[in-house]
Amino acid sequence: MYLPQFKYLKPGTVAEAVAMLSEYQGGAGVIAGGSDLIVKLKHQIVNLRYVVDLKGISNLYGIVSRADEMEIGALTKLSAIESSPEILNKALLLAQAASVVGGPQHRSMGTLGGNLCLDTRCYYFNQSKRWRQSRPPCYKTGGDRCYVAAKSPMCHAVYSGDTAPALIALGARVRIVGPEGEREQELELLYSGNGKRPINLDAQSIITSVIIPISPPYAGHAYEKYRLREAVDFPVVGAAVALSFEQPGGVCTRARIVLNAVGTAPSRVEEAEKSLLGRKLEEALEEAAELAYQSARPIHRMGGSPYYKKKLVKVLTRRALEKAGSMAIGNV
Amino acid sequence: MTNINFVVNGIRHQLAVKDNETLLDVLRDRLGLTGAKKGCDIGECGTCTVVVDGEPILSCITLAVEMEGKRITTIEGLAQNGELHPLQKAFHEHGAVQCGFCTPGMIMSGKALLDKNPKPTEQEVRRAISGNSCRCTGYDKPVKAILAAAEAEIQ
Amino acid sequence: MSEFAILGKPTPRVDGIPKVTGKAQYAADLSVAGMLYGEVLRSPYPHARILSIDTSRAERLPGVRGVITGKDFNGFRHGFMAHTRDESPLAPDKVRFIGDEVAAVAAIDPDIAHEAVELIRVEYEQLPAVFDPEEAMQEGAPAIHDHVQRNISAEMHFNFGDVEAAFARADHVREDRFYSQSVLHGFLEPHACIAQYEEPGKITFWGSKQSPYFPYRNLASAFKVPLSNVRVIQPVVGGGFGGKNDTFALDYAAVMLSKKTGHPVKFVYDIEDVLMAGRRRHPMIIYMKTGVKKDGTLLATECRVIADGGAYTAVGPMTIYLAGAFLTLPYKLPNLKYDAWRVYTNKPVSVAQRGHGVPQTRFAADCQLDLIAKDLGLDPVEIRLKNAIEPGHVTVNKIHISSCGLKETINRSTEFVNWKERKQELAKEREKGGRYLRGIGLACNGFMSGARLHGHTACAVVVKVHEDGTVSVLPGATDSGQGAETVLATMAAEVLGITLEDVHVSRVDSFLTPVDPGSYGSRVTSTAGPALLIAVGKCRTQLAEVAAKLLDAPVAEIEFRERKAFVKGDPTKQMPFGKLCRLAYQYGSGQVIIGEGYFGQNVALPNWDTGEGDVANAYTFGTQVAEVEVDRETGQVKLKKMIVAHDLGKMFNPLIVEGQHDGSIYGGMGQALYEECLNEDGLTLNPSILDYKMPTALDMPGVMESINIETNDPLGPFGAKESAEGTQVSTVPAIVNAIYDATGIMFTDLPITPEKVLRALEQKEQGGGPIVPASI
Repeated sequence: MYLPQFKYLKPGTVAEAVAMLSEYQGGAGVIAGGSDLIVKLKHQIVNLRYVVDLKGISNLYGIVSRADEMEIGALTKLSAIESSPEILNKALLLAQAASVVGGPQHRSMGTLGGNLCLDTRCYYFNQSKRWRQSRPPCYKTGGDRCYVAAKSPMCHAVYSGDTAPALIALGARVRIVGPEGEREQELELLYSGNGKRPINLDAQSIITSVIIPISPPYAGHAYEKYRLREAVDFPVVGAAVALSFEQPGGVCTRARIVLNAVGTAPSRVEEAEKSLLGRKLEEALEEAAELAYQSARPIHRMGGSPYYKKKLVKVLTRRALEKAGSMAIGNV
Repeated sequence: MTNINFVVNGIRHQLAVKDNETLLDVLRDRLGLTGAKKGCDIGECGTCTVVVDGEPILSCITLAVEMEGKRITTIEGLAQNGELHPLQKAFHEHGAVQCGFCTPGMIMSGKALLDKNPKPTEQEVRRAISGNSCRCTGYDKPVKAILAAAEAEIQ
Repeated sequence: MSEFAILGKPTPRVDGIPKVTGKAQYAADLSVAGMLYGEVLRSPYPHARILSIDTSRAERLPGVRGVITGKDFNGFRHGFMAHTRDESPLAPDKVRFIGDEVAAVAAIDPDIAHEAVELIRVEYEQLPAVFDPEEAMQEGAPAIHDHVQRNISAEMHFNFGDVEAAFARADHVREDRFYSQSVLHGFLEPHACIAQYEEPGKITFWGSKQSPYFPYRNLASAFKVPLSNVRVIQPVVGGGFGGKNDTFALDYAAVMLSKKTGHPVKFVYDIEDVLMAGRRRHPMIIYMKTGVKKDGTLLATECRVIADGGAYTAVGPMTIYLAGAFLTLPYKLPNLKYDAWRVYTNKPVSVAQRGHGVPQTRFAADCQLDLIAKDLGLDPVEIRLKNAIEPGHVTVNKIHISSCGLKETINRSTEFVNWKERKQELAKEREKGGRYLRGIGLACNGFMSGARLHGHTACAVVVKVHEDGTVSVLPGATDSGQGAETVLATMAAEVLGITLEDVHVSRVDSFLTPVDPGSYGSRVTSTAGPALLIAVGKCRTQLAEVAAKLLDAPVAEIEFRERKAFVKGDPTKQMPFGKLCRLAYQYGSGQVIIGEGYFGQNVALPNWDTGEGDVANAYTFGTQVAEVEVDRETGQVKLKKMIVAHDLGKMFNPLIVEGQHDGSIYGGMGQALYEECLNEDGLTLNPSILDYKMPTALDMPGVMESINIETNDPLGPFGAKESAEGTQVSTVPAIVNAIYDATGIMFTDLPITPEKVLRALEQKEQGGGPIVPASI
């Protein structure tokens, strides 16, 4: 397949990378594993003059454990994350999510930072230039319409990354470096909810690491991903849950429920989270699943109708809550 | 064009590659290693799988320029001194090959698995080749072949 | 101890080592000195008139050597029969589906070819398009081909016995509608070829073709050169399944561009070309009305089929012929009325795919049989045994059955799973509730062993014995992955008492190998096999005559085994096979040991107008038993077990047969549960391996069992018949019937997506009927 020309740049430091991105503003794209960007280049849904490969920056790799948090370099491979004893021990939810990304080859190429920055997806967007020429462009390809929701004033491409919902459930933060220097922010804020530009990251900045707070005792979590095939596929719906309890079998003290692939961003279901607080899981579980169901506004296509995806939201939320609950007990 | 140094199947190469050339195209068109196949060419079918520094990767969505300093193994690099690699032997003897188009990629996924996990379970084998599509075999015989190769390598 | 040295044993394939070492050369792996690279331009519209094509900018792009359009082919059209030649290599005046080829370019590298294609400007006048075959048949629907009324590309009407009278005396009659969706062949090797045109009019063509003599004939016609000027050389083929029979735009364009530029031209399609614009299985809407006696005896079927043909006819008439002819197999059916229309739509072209037309109607018939069994309170096994065809049966449409192991396949497959006990066990388990509903189902098949179309339908083989005791087999038949080379080598080795290593099977080279219709419809073992036996038999006779002289024994006493010639009953008189061959060449008349044989025109062709007559030399029969697990909460169905019992006449090689059966299960499971070409106004929404959803290794059932029933067919080579194409016929209904057992819901619309299942389960809970013909 045709891959348009570009210039390949390989910075050795974060500063150098940011300088390059600033210099070639808009015309440069970042590549880590390449499993998302190279396909988009072949499909000609992005056209870049420069491809900036971050793999030469040595301090973007690795896992550092501190007393109350762990920090994972953005270039850490998903395959390393799913098998890292450190992560399996302290952030199992992330390992679970990483282990269900794509196929084995995607996981050994793809990086955590890349997976977090995964673009939203849509039948009408992730297609070759030739395919897209059959119709006028949609919002995401620079046009004035949405083929999924004809009357919609905005793009409905779906966010489908697996690690983001898991990390948001864990309360993770990301470290970002741009021309103004380094900053740290809640991962949740990385997602704009705008299907067309889903990642709140300006073209000059890069994510350098992810910081995960260590879960308190009596915590449990789970990621439930539903897809037609047991490998390769993006989620039709996903649900990531992280819970903490005051004691084993006791009331819930912290809850995060993050839905995946039901909209343009991974989304927390705050009503459902609140409904769990101060209650025992078995008493609150059905209500929380129902609240997740009520709140979800999935779109047509990409794996099913809104009706079906909402059903999945309920089932997966319940399953994830149950698993998180048993893990919390098992943790004692 | 960028000059890169890399090792393919034990042989050191220095090559000037275009920035937009994929590893798959360089292997097939420049080095004459046509064992890795171009099925989908966008990283979805697994026929282009090769092993880079021990990891199975999709050479159709990997840029050749990224290969500076890397060690690459392709299907052509498995047999040593005319002896088939245990995986190749097992695929042949267990009827795991039909049209053969997915075979090189699938064997390379098996190779990456066995190098890390010499005694995999059936489920681990299925997972390791879950990124390799095959229309002919239904995967059962490839799975059995990889398990048999693991057995043979241990002995 | 077996009477055979190789036959029946799990022997590795003869083409295995080149394939596991990466040395096997597929079309895209080949290069020819000086070659250019081609690319085609496709229509972005489903239906449009071409007003003008401006290729000037493309021609001016540095590196471009040639640009062609439909006009270059001077009105040449191709098609399956003389009156169905409705397809042009490149559309000259009108495009009929998104992806229809309009122009092609040759350039010094693939990137330049691509850039040049993007510079071609085509002015179109868009026309109203039609995508639904039932709408396309209405008066006033857009005419896709000007000369064709109501978009009927082909139709078949069969009437055997008296269905009306039979319905009148039936105890029970039911009518159901089924839909079999659009699915792809699923080969991973996209179409590829290299063509070289040399003046005056000599064509050399290397292409990924399962039936290389199709392009042999088509290229000769298109370029108006004698057949003997067309040399088609077959590389290793990366899967076909019916999708690599025809000659496509790239094949014609490669030759035309080579003719124009004086260079060889190579084309390699992207997988998107295949998935978006390539050929696929016919979707069919099937109305099935069947009448039975109280005891389940089938009395009559009236079947109406509307097949979605896509934009051109291709092999379509044969598809709807077979879809009707096989309504009388594998169950005895004394009355049949069949009316089928193959309808043009503005979509990619429907053709043969593993099972060729038969899986669609047999899915309907075999699932309806379970509904009938339920209506009558009969067990699904019982009703099948009651109606099962037996050896010697002649169907109402005059299909003559010789060998038939159907009942044994039913018995053996159901015994394997302890049908009765398992069915009860699962029913009890379902009563207990829980997340999963599990169920078990079966379906049977009858299929052709060696399809016959029209014209020349024989296969031929030449066998050459070399002086060193090795043998070359030159068949006209083709291996596209199914194991044909190994099967032919096995037969040759068995007859001459040598090993597989001694036999080289050549791939098709139309200068050297004999002409052949093509390797579709399970023809190789069944039809090329007997031809090979004749050819190798002639070699054996010649060698036996030499051996008789050298060993001083009568010719009839000479035997060949273990790479030796023996005199029967006298172990002292023997000679190595290699030595015999050398001596035969050196001391005989100088005659070289060559044999040739042909086979396949021994049975009269079927009657295309009435639907009467044999469509093959022999017929295979089989049964499949499926066990499924349905997730009540998500609606997802997992196939857990599949037992295949198949009457294949004679088992040649268990490794190949099992592997082929596994692959057949895979294709059928994909069609039943996973795959579908999603089409929206003519545009395929999922033209990628990611979105088309062929199952992965993690989705396959842990238990796949092959039970092989040997019935020794009188016409089959060593008694063998086809295997693993017929099985594709029963895979889908076995799965659907198992879901029926698990849920009480008969899903009549394929594929059975989780969403359909979940909706139907909810509907059932709310008191809906047992059948959900819902289409989502």
